[in-house]
Amino acid sequence: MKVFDKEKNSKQRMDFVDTWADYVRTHPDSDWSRQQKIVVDSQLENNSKQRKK
Amino acid sequence: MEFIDKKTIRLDKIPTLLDNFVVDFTKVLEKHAGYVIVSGYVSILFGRSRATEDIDILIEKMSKEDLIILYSELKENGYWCVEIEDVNEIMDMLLEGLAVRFAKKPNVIPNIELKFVKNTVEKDAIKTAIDVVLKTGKIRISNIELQIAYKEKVLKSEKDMEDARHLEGVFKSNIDNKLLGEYREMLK
Repeated sequence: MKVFDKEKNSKQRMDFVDTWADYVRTHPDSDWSRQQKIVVDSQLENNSKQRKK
Repeated sequence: MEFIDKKTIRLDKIPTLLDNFVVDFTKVLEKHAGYVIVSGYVSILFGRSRATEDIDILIEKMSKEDLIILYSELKENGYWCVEIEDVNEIMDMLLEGLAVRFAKKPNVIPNIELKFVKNTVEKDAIKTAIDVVLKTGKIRISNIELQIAYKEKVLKSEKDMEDARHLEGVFKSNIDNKLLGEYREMLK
């Protein structure tokens, strides 16, 4: 049984990149950046906490 | 996002912690050296849904005297060099083509990876850089066509391919396809 299909996963990731890029292009900066800020800031804060442990 | 002219983009985004970090650092840097931001952060600036721990910045070669002044002002503004403290060693690393990392004290991440330009592609990146006007300040980034081609043809990791695809999607109608083709050919 194939547990993880790397190729399929890569394609899905790339499809999402396309979807999100379309969203960024077609929506106001304030809209997409509000969502991006949550992702970027939380990743940075988590990485920072991990390093301090 | 609005193209004010061919070399200037206005971006009315809500700044991330990373954006603020970059703007603050380059406010000091720009007084001392020509610079250009390259690689992952360029995609993140324009909306990629990921963070990074390091921001790659290329600077024009400078004398040790000028580096001493820059380093001193960075320290006054709360930055420290993560690997080494001695400015002579920082200069040696830069001259060897290595990157030196600067972070805001006492943090290690995020950090700026500073390098001297060393080849024609990197020199071209500085020469053809574009300004991005944010709510909090102005920064200089590599032109989008060069970023896409460099990620696709030189860096090539899965993350880099996704970054390139993101930029291509976001700038669909503003990309100079002839220039992109030339970069792709030159870097393959």
